Amino acid sequence: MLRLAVNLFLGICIWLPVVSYALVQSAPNTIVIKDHQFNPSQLIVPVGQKVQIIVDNQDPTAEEFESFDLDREQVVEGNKKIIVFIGPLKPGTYGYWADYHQDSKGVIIAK
Amino acid sequence: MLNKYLRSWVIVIAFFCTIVFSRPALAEKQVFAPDAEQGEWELENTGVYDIDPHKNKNAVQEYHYSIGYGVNSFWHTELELEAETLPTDDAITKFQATHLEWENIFQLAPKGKYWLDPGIYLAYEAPLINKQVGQFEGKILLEKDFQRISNILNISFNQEVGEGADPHTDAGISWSTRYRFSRYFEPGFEYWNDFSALDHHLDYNQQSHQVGPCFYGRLFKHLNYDIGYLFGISDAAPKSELKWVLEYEF
Repeated sequence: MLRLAVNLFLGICIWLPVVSYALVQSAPNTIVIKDHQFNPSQLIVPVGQKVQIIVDNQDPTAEEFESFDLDREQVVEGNKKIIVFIGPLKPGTYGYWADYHQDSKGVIIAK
Repeated sequence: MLNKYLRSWVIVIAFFCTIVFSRPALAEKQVFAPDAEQGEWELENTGVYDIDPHKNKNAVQEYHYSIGYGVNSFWHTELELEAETLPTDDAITKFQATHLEWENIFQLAPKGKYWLDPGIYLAYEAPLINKQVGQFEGKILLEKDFQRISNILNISFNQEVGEGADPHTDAGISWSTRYRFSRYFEPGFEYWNDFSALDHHLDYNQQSHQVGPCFYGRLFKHLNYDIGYLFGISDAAPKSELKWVLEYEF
């Protein structure tokens, strides 16, 4: 049983990247945080594809990219970038906000 | 970013190769997601309360009080005090602090990058009571979301260490499925299984199997809840069990 568990763990390590590489990915999109505002505040992404979003924080202080609709919550440090992976999404509108400045909001539109 | 996650894998694999196991009387009833939120502090209380017609199983309780911190985007660490009533042959003992635990969650990849979100949980439990043994615990954490339905699987291994430690490896599985209806209410269910010692094949009724409804969400800003009622579906499990997690993030 222990051998099975170890094999399962190693199998996940090997096959996970392989399976993920097979999925279609679109070119990365970028959302800039400047003066605690998102730009663009509306981002259109394709339906049914895994999407990379580069969140580029051009403010000196950290911010948190958070979205309940997308189930994502990631801190991006000041003057740094992170990559957020979302999708595949069904058609619709998905809201997100800056958790440290909750007046800052945006939407991702999948169509 | 890739180097940070590669370092996590190296640490995890090294620790996994040296892991030892134990036999917990009760386990913390929390299905762990492979997430680490950088810079986030949390105060957490988890509890378990058993309801059973047998004297040595009824009102068995376990509570955990912890403080945790997201060190970076791939490592969350937590220090935890465990207190419980311990079962004996025909009754339960008084409530007492039993262990101090150091828990760590390693997020092995950015969420959503791969088909499964992987993580590892590693913990060491030091005994506070004389003549009790310590234990190492490890879990494989896997999460898969389908739109608003989140599924998390934990595969657990435990081993005792110290004088008088049980040399056998214990293993178990826990599963959580929830529908993310709103930030404040996410209905779902959980399944818990304790296979007990890996090298002793126990019959189904000698293993502990539990399943039941659970509800998750946010009570108000920064305070999250996870509450469930598990039914024993094997003889070794308590007839029913109330479990909860309250987490304050800041």
